[in-house]
Amino acid sequence: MSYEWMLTLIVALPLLGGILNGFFLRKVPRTVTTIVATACVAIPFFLGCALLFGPIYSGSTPVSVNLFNWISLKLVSGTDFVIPFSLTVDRLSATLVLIITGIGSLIHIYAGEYMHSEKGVYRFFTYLNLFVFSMLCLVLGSNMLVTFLGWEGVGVCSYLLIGYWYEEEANAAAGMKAFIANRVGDFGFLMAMFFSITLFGSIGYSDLAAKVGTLPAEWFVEHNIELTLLGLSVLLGVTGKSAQLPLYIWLPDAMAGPTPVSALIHAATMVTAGIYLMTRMSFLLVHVPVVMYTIATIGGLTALFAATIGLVQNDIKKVLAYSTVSQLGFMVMACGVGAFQYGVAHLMTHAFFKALLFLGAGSVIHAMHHEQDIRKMGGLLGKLPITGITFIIGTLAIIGVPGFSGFFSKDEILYYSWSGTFGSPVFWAMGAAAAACTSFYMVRLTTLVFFGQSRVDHHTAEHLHENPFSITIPLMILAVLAIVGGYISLPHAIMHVFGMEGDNLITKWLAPVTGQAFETMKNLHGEHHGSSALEWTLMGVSTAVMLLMSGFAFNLYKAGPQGGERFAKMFGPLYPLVLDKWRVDELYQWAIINPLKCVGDIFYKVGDRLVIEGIVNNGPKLLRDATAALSGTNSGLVRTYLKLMFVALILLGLFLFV
Amino acid sequence: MLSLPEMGIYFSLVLFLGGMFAVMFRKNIIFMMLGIEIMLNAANLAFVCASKITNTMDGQVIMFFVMAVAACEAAIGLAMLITLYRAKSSVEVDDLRLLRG
Repeated sequence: MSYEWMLTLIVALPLLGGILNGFFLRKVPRTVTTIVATACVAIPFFLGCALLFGPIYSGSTPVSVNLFNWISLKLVSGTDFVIPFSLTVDRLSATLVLIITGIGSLIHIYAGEYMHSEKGVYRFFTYLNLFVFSMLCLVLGSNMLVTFLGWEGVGVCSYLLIGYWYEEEANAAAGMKAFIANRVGDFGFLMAMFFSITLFGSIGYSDLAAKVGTLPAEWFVEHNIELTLLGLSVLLGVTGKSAQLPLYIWLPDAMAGPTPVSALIHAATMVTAGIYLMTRMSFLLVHVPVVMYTIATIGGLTALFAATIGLVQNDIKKVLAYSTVSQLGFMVMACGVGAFQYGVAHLMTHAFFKALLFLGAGSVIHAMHHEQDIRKMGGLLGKLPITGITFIIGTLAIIGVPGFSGFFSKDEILYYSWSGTFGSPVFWAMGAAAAACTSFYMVRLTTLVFFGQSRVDHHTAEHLHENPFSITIPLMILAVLAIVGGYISLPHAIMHVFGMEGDNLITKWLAPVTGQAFETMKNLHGEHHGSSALEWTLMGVSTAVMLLMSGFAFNLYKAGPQGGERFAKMFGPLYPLVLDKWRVDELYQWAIINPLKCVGDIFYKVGDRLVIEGIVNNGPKLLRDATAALSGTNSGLVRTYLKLMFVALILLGLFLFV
Repeated sequence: MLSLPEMGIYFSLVLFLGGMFAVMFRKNIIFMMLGIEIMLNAANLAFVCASKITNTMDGQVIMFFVMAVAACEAAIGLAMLITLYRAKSSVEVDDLRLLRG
């Protein structure tokens, strides 16, 4: 099989699975649906492996396939304007394909068991398959339009899956909130496309990279404003899809969906689309420092802001949701300071440990018969040993215990946020504070759920037992990945200790994609100015803070939530404010939704009721009134008709003869 | 002083109007049909007088056609009247208002 065929199949199979499950396999047993859906994601995983370890690994040239011309226009100027529907797999997209299909397959297996009591589970798997298809389009598209197709597709699937249990109004509302917030971001993506067509006449990534590479430095100064707008449009798209300030509000509500969905879409894959896009466009973004600083600021602020909310949440999935927003902030900050490869590295490690944590949370929820309040858990480690141990591994990975994956990727981001081309100690401080909060809330969560006295009610406790293998095996695989995943981004300082020279794995691996950006940064801003001493210091500080905060949280919560409540009282009015998520939703309600409603009301009353309904209703009414007056003469009395005839005759006579 | 045929024309006008008012204001269908007969005969008179004035035979010929039509009309009209009376037990025209809009 040629590589082009493999590439096409990677995208086509999940689509086929979606069509099969959605139209033809609606009445088959649940196991068949699960197997079809899982196979349609697992086969692309192996194809992706074959591509990654075959042509992508050995050479740096990407594999491309042009399926058909999507848009083909003859412009007024006489030139042809063609946007092909073409797919390209290079090192960046191959990595993401493996993450999407690999974690996707595990989650499909898990979901088969998790959703076993659902009726019509084919609907769930149809959406999941379509999601995987869209996500693969997103990462494999060789121009922005194909990416945009995937970008919209994942938004739709996310909407459908958040509102999967649509009988409850809150779930449907959460789906709509996600969709609308995403639409704001999509506007940014569209604008970015329009800007790049205007500026460069192309939206193909390789075209753009080639054009940007040949343009002289003066051109970038001359077109600074357009480039800034282009960069900010990309950023707006990123804030929508990757849940950054100010559009992050949809992600916590998205937890209304089934837990496998939260793990796949709202932790591991879809929300990382923004990081993918920024890495893809890195060659362009680095030309505009304003945009880079804005990206880093937004990322840093989001990381810190979401982490503070995570500190006080009591819903197991809400804690993880705010943690995801915060971790995405880290990745965005990494891109903003110019360390794109560590954004991707953290994307990967985060996909492992956050999918693990979500699936672990799902396992707990499944065992607890849909109880999500961590105050009603506790001491579950003995009852759910595999879930407990893997969840603890996930926690150790996310808080960055040395040796686990999160440590490497997060500390590289923190180091570059200080020393990167666009880095500054301010960014580092935001990141470090967010990391401290992360340690606190994750240890708080783990302690409340798995340690201490059981607070489970008697009835649930009787039925509490470890879940079957289809749930625990994905957990174990992800736990292994959450431990070892970080070694691709070993810090330079540690590499020196072991006598390894040059760049670490991820930097070398992504060099064909990010190399142009690094070259530009080096030309414009000089060499990277970090040092091993600084790296050791920062690593030491963050590890010390992590240990301090985790120990503190463990001590506070090992006896149950009461310890935390006493601690929270010390903060006075601040605690309820954070518990209410800083009242951001209320702020948006007041500042955006209510004024919009007001405007809408005016348009409804004036435009709709008065103008449109006025014309539509009063026009026929006028005709009806006029005819009603005339129809009075139509009495059915022959005499009346004859009289009228007589009058008419007289008038006709007068008219003709006088 | 008008000649006799001219006076006949004016008389036919009076007869016609009389017939027409009978049709317009009577409620009984029999009287309305009588009115129609009067109008037809007024027309006949006008034809005859006009034929006399112009010294042609056309008007007198047409008069015979009209008389034939009038006879048919009377026969059909009376037949319909009887059917109507059987169906509705009335010959009042105001009872027949099926055309009301």
